[in-house]
Amino acid sequence: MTTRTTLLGCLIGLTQLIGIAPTVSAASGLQLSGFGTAALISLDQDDVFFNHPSKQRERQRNEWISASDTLLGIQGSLSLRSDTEVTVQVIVEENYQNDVKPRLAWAFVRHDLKPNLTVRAGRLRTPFFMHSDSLNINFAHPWVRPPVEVYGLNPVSDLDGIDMLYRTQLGGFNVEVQPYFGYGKVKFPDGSANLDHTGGISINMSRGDLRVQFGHGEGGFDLHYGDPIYLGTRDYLFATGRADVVAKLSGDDGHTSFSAIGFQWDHNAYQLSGELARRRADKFLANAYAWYLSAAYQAGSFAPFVVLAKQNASSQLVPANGDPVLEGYLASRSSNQESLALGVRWDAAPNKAIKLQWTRNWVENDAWGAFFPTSDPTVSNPSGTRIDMLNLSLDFVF
Amino acid sequence: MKMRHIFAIAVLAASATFASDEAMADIVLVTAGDGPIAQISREEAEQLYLGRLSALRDGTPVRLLDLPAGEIRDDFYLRLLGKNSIQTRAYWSRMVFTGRARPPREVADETELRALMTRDPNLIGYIAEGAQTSDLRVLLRLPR
Repeated sequence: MTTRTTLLGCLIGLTQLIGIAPTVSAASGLQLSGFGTAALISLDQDDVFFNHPSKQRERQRNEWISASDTLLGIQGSLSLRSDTEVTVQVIVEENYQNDVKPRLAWAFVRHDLKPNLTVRAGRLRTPFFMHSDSLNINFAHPWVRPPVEVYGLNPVSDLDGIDMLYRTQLGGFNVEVQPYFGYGKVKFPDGSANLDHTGGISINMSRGDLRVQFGHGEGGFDLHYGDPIYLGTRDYLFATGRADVVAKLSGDDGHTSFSAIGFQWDHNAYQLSGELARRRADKFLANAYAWYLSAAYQAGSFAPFVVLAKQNASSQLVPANGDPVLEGYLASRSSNQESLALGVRWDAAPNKAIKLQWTRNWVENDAWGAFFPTSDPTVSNPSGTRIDMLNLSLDFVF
Repeated sequence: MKMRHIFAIAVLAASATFASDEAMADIVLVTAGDGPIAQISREEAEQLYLGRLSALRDGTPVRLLDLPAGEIRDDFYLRLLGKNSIQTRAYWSRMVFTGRARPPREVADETELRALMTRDPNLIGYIAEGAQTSDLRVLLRLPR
């Protein structure tokens, strides 16, 4: 049995217990809860695998289980006083080394300065986009996962630092203002990325059926690659006297910013939502923008949905000038693609949702999109291909 | 494993369709009759059950109770917040797992709700109006 099969087995076994699991231990002030997703995947091509751009990993070893989507989260909250509590959330999922190991997704102390003003310090999440901080909480979304086109723009989801949540009302809107500051890092196969002294603000406004979100964050960042494609490209560029280009591809002291505007409209049985996001960087990453539009209709416990999404580079990281080696390298770092997804969410029980989603992906000619080649990328890679993906997932909370 | 799981889900889905038929009455937001919570505005009640407030505007801490999944609970959220049960659960899963709010404590039934309120005067909860007794204070009425 592979590691992944075991993980899925644990998830399914655990969901059987949900109905009877005690979630509250009021006497001690300790509250345990959790969530998870068990997902299957099928692609219409066998020379690529799905590689969520913000959850990069090695080639999956089990071709049916979607390692990018399958996860289990356990959260414990302990009240220290009526206005202060500690929250720790551990996520168990396959990591960049193909190991299934727990990692801290959240770990913070929260203190209510006023009934409507909260300060939190510790491990938080970068709230650049509308669903950034609930990226793993698939039960909260209509889809199998938030669209990769937008959510793949930012590879670093952890933020070690401080934030504030200020809730007020303005012109009939419930407003939540969230300033934040911190540091983040992520590892991926043969590489790593860091966000340094990164700060920003996220503003969430809701009124009746409408929710609108604005976000902007920026900071320093480092990006280090050590994979064979990068190393080969680097050696080739050095050998051809282009050290200035190498300095643009990987290293320290870059600057990046993320801006986004999003909306969600829940009107009776209809839900419309969309987001427009932009990433800018002075080196290492191309400037890019992305958007999605989603529509869902709730019919009893079934909610069919459709999503259209696109990510596009607004400028090239470095001009390739027809150099095939550099062109190939840049494509391997770009997740530009378009997709159309059709699916249905079935709320089978109060705390379980089953989703079936078909996604047609059009990967740009100069990109790999949300996919990696399974073998030698010079022979076959996702650039310019159309890839159909089918997902079946079970989301649960307890 | 797979088939058993599908079967379990089918059973759960079927049992959910046989809910009680009590929610024809008004739903009332209540607290302990001798507790410190004298009144709650509708706006405060909304903010509390949206997880956006953890205390009243005057600073009185409030802890929330929920009835188990069913018609009264679904009706309460629909009347107070205009959200159906599926929207409510999706909303609250986001609030809880992004560290924004603690979910209301779920009681087994109205009897447990009343018992807890006699022990903790900062609790509020909701019941279908009917068999009310003098030990509870009605804070807000949500008509059909």
